[in-house]
Amino acid sequence: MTNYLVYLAWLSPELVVTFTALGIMVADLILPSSMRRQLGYAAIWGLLIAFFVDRGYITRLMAEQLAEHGELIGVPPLLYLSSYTSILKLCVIASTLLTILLYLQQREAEANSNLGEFLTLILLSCVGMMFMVCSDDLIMVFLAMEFIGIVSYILVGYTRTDIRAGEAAIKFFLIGAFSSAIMVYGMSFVYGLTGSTSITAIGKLISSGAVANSMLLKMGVLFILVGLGFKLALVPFHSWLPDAMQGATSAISGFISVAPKAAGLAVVVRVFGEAFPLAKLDMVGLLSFLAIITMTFGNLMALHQTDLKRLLGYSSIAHIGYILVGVIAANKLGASGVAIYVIAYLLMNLGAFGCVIAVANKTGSTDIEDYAGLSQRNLPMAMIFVLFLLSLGGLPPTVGFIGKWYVFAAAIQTMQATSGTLSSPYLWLAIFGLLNSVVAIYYYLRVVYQMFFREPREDTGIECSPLLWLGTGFAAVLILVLGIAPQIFVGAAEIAASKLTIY
Amino acid sequence: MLSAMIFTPVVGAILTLFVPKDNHKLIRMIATAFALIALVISFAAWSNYDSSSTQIVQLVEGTQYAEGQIDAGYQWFAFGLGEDGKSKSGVYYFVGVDGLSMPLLILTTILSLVAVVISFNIDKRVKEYFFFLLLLEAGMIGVFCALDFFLFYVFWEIMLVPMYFLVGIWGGPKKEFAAIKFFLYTLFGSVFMLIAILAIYFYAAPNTFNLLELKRQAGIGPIVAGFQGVVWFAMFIGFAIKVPVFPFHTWLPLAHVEAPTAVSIILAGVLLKMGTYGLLRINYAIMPRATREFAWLLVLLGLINIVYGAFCALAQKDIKKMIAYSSINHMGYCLLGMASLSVWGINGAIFQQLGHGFVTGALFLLVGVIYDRAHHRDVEGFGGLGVQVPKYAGVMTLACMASLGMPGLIGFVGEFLCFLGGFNPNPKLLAGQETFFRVCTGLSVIGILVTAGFFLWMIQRVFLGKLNPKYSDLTEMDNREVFAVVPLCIFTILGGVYPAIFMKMIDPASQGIVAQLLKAAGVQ
Repeated sequence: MTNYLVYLAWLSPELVVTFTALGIMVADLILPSSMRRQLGYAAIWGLLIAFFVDRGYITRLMAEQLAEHGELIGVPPLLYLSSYTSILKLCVIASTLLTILLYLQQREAEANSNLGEFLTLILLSCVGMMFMVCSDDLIMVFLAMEFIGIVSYILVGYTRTDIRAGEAAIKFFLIGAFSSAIMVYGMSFVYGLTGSTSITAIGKLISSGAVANSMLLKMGVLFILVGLGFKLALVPFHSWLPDAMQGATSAISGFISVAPKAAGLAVVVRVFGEAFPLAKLDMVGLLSFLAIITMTFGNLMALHQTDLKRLLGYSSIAHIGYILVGVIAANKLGASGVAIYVIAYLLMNLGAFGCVIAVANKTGSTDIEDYAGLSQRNLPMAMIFVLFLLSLGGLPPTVGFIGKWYVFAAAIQTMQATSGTLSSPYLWLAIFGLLNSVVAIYYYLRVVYQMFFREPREDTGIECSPLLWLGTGFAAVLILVLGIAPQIFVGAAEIAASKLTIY
Repeated sequence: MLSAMIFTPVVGAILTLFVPKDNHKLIRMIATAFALIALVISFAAWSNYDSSSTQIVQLVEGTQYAEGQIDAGYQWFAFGLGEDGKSKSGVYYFVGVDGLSMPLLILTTILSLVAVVISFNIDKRVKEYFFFLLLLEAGMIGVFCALDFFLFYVFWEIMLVPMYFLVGIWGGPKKEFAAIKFFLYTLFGSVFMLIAILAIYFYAAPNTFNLLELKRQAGIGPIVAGFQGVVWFAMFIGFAIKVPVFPFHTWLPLAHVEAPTAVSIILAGVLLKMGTYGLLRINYAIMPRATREFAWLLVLLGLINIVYGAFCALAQKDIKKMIAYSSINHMGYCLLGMASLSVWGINGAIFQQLGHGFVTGALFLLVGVIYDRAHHRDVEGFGGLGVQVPKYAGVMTLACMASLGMPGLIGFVGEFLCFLGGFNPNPKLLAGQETFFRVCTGLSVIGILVTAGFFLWMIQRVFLGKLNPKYSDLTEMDNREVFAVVPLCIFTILGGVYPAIFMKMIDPASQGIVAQLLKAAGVQ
């Protein structure tokens, strides 16, 4: 019994968010409609509490004497808590927080009478992601993924009257259901071969050579990859993302391009680092190929987009490609690079969506051409937006550069460690990744071009509510501060990565 | 002191942001003041620089570098740390100057002040303009001061953004295209540079970004044995695009022609030097073996740059474009001198950078002056201006003469030394290749002739002959313009008459580079 109480204590961030969600659901029924707006602030407070509780656990796990690598929770263990998973959990909470903040400032939100419903959904999806981040069991991964999936389908289709939202939700749902089925099928292969669904246990069996590297095992891993690839929107499982991004309301677009990926990456790092070591299964080449086509395709498609949200959607596909380099490199630097990149990506992408919302509130459009002359309509906003875009493009001194630096450094380090030659896949990952970031700069600069080089179509200023300033300004300051003084967070990420069982 | 120099323009840039948009006067004052402070600091650094000292790198801040040390300077952030989280390996804020960078720093601060002063006539979005200009200055100073690879790269990249805006907003008719082309081209180069930096870091033992420590290691054994050549090339592409070395030069004429005057001055005067500076600082020092192997390539590319640049310049009708192509030609001399791997040649290459900086800065400034008045730059559209604007004609002629290498002016010293180097490549390192070098150098002389040709022809068509009646009311240079061009003229003459003021600093640096090449090659 005491054991379970200890377990529950470890899960307190999840519990806080769950109870906030349920509380809001009930309060939404009871409260008079005039007070419903306050629900948003309740959600923000709940998430803030969860954020700081989780922050506290990171410190505790970092200095941890409890167990060397992390805590396994449950009998048999279903969850795995370490400072690394807690950092990614922090990212999930932070992105939910920022999303709610942004959504409350959106013009559509004011018209929306069902704010409580929306908040409950997004908080529940946050809970699902938090569980996904720290799951240590394939079944748990699947359950968490389905949970997030179902909530996300609803969130994407939330603006019922918009036909594009409906289309996006249906597409999202069909592809999602299909890929999770394949994933479970793959898991059954793995279970049949290893007799276990625990990531830790499978990892031990495979790296000790108790389970031979058979074709069947590879098939199983491949099928699992399909499911995870869908969640991360890897090419060729990506087609839902741009539609969902364009169809959903802006804040949700930002959310689905960041939070599920943070959660998915935590699982990918553990599944492909620990359970199925890529180098051991001879799958480095395949994964490298996937990463390369993901970033290349994402970037090439983004080049010609005229809708900013769609552009950001394709660019987010490309970013996942870069992050995957850190996973494939499979070393400490790579794992820390994934966490660093996720933190960076969360700030810059949600920040960019903040600007999108500010402009869309005024013009009602997300067309890139409607950003013409933004620098003359609102210079600080344009400057901040440029900062987000340059960070997305990975230019110093922004945090986006630090993220890129870490993942590509990890690839080169692995190349050196495996005494790779010029044909080393790690080298080509780095080369393609960096060349892709040149392509990416081109389309980010297209937006900058509109904002700074074009004359505005209308002369009216674009005003921005204080809370929106708070959200975007906060992200912008963090991007610069973390980019100029990365010691604040890269050290923690590196220690956390070294505490993972594998590294 | 160096940090103060790097961050003074940044402070100025941030200050301009707080000035009301319409207070142009105050913004200009702030920009001038901060560029001036940076200039004063650079002169103070110059006077503190002891060229007779055995300490090669001076004015270092924080921990001094000693042999085998990887934590010189201040730790910026740890990178690839161990279990305790207190690893020494990582990125350091490590700045210092030697004879290679000190002259270029002076050049940078002077040209930046000149650029600020000459930009007073800009009245479109003044605030943003000076913000970006000052940011650009900080990036340039940073590149020349950085002795940590990561720091070097960060400053290198930081410059791109202000440059993009400066060309893209305040440039000529095709400004957007020029800006994006410049940006993508340079970024493309830096991508390879980044991979090379990472490779060098991970293959070094102990792992470090410290350029001095890397240099020491490279003297003992090749850092990336096996494919040093590939890493050398990756680095080379990054720098070659900046120089620009043929065939990576196509962004240059475009960017120059479209950029506003001040930006052209900075671009030609300082940015191009970063390429040659990087080659000497990184390729020569850290990968000396590969440098020796590819010296033939450098001399060949130098020859192409010289001859091709000169002929292209000859064919131009637009004066600004002509000067842009002459820059390609002049950077070719640098490559030629450098490729010889001899003290003479490298001295020449460094001095040529300085000379080209001052002279081409002045030329672009003067073209800007005439363009402001006549609103075109067509070489055939003028005629006989010498009568109307004698002061202007005199300064322009001086700059042209310096550019074509007239003895007594700064351009001559660098060119002469480069050719001297080219004719006498280092016998210990390039034995057996002398003939090839001499042939290439001999052919390059064509470039000198053509250079003289197009400059003299330009002077003839613009200033001599009968005055074109269209320009009978052309006004002479005003005080501000004279004030901007005078320092450049002073250095043009001073450097030609008494090159030792710079050569005192440059010579030990070249000796050091050649010593490193010899050490790595195992010949003393």
